[in-house]
Amino acid sequence: MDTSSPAVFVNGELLKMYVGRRVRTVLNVAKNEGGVTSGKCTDGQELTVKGGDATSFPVSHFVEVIGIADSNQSIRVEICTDFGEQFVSYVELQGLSGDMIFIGKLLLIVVTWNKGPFIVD
Amino acid sequence: MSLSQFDGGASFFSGVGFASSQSTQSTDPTLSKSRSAHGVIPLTVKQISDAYQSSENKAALAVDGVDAANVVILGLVTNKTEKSTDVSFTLDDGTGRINVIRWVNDSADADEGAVIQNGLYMVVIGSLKGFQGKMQLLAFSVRPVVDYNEIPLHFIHCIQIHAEHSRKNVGASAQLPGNLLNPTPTSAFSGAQENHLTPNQHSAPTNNSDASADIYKLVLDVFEEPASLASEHGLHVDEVARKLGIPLKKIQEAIEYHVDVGHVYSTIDDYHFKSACTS
Repeated sequence: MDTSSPAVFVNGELLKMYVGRRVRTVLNVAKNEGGVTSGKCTDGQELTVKGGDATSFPVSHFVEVIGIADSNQSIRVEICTDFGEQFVSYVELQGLSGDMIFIGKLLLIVVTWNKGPFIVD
Repeated sequence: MSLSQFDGGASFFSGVGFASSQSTQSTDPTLSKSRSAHGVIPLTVKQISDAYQSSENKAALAVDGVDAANVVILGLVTNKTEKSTDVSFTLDDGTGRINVIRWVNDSADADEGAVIQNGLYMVVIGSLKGFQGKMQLLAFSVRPVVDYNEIPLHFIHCIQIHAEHSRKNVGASAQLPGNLLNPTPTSAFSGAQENHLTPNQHSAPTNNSDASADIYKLVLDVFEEPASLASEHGLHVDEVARKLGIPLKKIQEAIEYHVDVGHVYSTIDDYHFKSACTS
């Protein structure tokens, strides 16, 4: 087992805290131009990604990007996966930093998702 | 309490009903720290790694005090190696990487092995085994992720099971609105605002009103009685008032508070409520 390079779940806001680190997020592709893909992240912020296969994905698809955060708004891609057009739920995970969350209306969880037992210490 | 009682929003979890027996077991007070488990626990590689490093008994791993012999993990396949006897690969779930072996005994196994490809998201169910000082997963089942919503679902399920198994801590946090209930709000949650409880949405009973704090506790206790937990529709407010002999207005006030902080929720109408407590 190797837990030395985890990919932290981020959205546009959280990305700023992890510049230089390995991160993962999902973009709704808006534009593909000159090897740079841009799109809205789950919190509505615009992010750009460079490298990898990111430029081969169609506009309006949701694309998961795993790579190094190289600035407040951009990620250098290592791996990306086309999640298609029917992806809805990353927003739930990225909102989990030490907050209470209801899943449906019944389940209450108090947890720190990106830290502690799950991703990074 | 088993997951099956979460009939509404938690139909979310209906696909992984096998964890129910596990949750039920975890509520048994006679089971000690290393409780035997027959279910399959959803875990992240980080949880397995942390448990392995902190565990004295490397042969029987326990995560959150529960025996984690059989687990389900989800991640990206890398380094696939195919032999006539087995298919091995590394699964990266974003929290870490673990080696997985799928033994090939018959043609069905071989077919499953052929589906495994580098770069694909796969769900692996298997048994954790220590081998030459390393933990690896002997897979019973390996299948590709078809609906990518399954990825966040898996992680939410990991969180839920972690919360269930660390129930005491979570319960304590929920009872005492403290640091966890006052996190620094960030704009990161805008997309799912309706699902979140922001700290300023509830007002805890204040210190200078011990009497009302007592009523709050009494009301919660009524909802957490086994009979109340077993009732599908929970309790009517009148019933709570009758049981406690406290004016209806006070009861409603207490219920309102408990609804806000997530201890109870309304069921069939605005007068029936049930505890969110799972044990």
